[in-house]
Amino acid sequence: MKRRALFAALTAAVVTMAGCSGEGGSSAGPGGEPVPGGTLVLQLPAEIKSGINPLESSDPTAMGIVSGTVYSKLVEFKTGPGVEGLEVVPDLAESWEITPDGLTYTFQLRDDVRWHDVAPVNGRPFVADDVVATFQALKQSTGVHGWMIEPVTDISAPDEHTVVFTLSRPYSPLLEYLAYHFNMILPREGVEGEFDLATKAIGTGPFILDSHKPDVEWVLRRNPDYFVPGRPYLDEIRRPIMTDAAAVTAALRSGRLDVGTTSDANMAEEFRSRGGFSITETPGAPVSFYINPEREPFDDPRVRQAVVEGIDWAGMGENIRGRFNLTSMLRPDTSDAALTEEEVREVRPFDPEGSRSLLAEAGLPNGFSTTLTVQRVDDEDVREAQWIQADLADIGVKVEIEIVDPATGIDRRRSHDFAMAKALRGVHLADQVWRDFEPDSIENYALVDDPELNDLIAGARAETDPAARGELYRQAQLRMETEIRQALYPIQKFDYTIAGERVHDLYASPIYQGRRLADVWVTQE
Amino acid sequence: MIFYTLRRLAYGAVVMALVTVLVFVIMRMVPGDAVSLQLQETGVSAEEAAAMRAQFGLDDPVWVQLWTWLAGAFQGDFGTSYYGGEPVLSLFLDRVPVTVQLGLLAMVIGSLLGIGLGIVAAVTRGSATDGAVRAFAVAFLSVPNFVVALLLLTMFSLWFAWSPPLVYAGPGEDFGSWLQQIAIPVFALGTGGMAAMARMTRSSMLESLGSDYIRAVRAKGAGNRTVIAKHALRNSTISVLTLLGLELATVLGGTVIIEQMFSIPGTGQLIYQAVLDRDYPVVVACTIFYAALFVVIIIIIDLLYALVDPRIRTGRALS
Repeated sequence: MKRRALFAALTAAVVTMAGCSGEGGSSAGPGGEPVPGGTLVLQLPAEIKSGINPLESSDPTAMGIVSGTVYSKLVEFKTGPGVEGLEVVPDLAESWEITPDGLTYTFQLRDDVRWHDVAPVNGRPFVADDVVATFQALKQSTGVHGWMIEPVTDISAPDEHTVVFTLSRPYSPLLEYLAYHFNMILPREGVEGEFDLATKAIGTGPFILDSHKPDVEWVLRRNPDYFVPGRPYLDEIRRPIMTDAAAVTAALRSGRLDVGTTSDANMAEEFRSRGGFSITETPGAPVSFYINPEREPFDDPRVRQAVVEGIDWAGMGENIRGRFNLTSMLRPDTSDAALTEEEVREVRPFDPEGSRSLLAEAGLPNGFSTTLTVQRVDDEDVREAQWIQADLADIGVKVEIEIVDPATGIDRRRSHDFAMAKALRGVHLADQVWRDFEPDSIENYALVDDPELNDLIAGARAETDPAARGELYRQAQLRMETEIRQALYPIQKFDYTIAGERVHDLYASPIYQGRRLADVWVTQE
Repeated sequence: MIFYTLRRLAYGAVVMALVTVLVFVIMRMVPGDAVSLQLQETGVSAEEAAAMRAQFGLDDPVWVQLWTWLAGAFQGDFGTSYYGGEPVLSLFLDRVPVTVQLGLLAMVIGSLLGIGLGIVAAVTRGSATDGAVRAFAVAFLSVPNFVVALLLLTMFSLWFAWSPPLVYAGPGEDFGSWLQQIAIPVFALGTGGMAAMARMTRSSMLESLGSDYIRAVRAKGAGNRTVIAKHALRNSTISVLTLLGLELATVLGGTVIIEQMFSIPGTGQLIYQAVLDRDYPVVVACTIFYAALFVVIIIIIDLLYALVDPRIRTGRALS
């Protein structure tokens, strides 16, 4: 994040997302008729360090500022009361057609959209050529998320309001990636360098980027020409940069801050019991746990199994995170193919007795000593490590905990310099798991090299039938849980959005979904 | 006096050279770098990451990096941030006024109150006032300044539903808002210094007040006020000055956490973020600026000693 605070790129990521995304609780309830006007003050948990260029940035905080708010996308994930999971709905594209072979996607664009009235784009109409320019630039940039459209070989505009994507092979996640927060549609002027995309944002979204005072705040104002009639309600959104939990707590209590976010269940509980705030719990980042098979004795699959089944993951989630999901590789909030809690309990039972016999079988009846490298973003990360340490001590494994900051943690995982490692995994869509297991990927921290798993994942990526695709993902998860056991996402933590009573209709989203802010309104004194 | 000054300056130069090399080498020994952080979760390939490292010069040996940096620094180029690409010097200088205002206010308020309390305690030695000042001083000396800030923040928000403004505005932009924003930070940063100052002033005043020359002054018939202000206090100044120099280090160090807590865009916040981001040019430059500031202040204080105490000036040190 640019500036990122690195503190967390992960933290920030997680928190921002929750921040920008999470609500849907009681404040979403009947608060009367929406009233236009007013200002929403929404915490920004870290400053943006590397600029806001959507073609180059992978900073979740940056996405949280501009994606869906300033920039629209072709398609969008639905948000609103009662919406769960990911449903792709129109944004700039009114409708789309996919040929049966899965190789051609044709999008019909809205014809009533104008760019923000900011130089040098000056409110000109939005056309198909802008979409072509955006994705061609993305394909050419050495950029960070070009891989999301890797199978797309050609993007063309047969007329002003039609865009055609041609693919080299069937690629089922394409629509989800087009709805993902990275893939904002830019004006051709920006792509061609007529203004600096890193510091300026001119989009078609509900809000116009008004000002940025470095390390202090970002301000968005209402786009009067937004293509959805009557939206947005808010005149202004202010995003003060606040990283400290105590400062956020104080600002929420004093009413200077409308919406704050945290991963700390105790802080959320404190506001809940106090009253006057609505608390929304949103599924957040999965906790990741890696075992390095190149470090003895983890080369023996029985030892890996003993460790994984010697830890009471559900107990850990319950006691340390408060709310959590017991999970396998996929996030249950974004994929129907995720193993259910019962299935996970079955394939990954908590069985210390079994673990002890597995260790004995592996020739380690007295256990062994090892280290757990823990990436610390918040206190919970450390308490989880202590929980693991205690559970493993019970089966005779003596664990030394090594706490590192995010920068060190990433570096150590990339260089496979750990025996066991624990961190948070900042991904959302089912398809993104391939990067964790592909032998050539730099995010394959645990050196997973399993041809069968890779075939399953490659098959799922190509499969256009959702049911068949889900089945492949299920098999991939089972294979990881029962055969490989090197990279696990044992639980998914929750994030909490705390909103004051004047905030209404702020609905949760698993991604950085700024467009939902167009539906938010505030009670004015 | 000239020789004394030159010697102080030479010491300062040696300290600066050591600080530069140490900071430079240590920062690079810490695992993790700006490239991994910027590219995490992006799916970028190892080759692309290597190209980015080469662009920042991160793949050169540390000594080569140090040499390149020094060569630039002597020409006034302290490098650019790995993130925004902004020159480090302007990044830092933009924030200096914010931290200087905060630090200076904390030091001035802390010192004035501390010296005042110390004098009162010394003069009323053994009384309830003296006891209260001492208890107060021990309490604030033992509590870190960020804890004081945290307590105040929590108390004000719970009891009065008040919190500082969220958005920093300089005193020139919006004086009222600025005052509200820095009130807690200034108090929190100042308390440690105030406590230390009160204790030091009290003990040196007591020493002076009990000495023969004070008895001589009193014997001349001087009033209480003259005795305290003109004679005892002046002779207690040396130790108080020393403490003032050390206090500067505490306050500057304190701003790193306090500015982060209160979202104050000063140099402390810049350093804090830069360390987490492994933004080496910013960390190195900021640390060196801080060290330089500290060295300069120490030299000024050394020179002030000489002004206050003629024995130092003439080379006959205090025994």
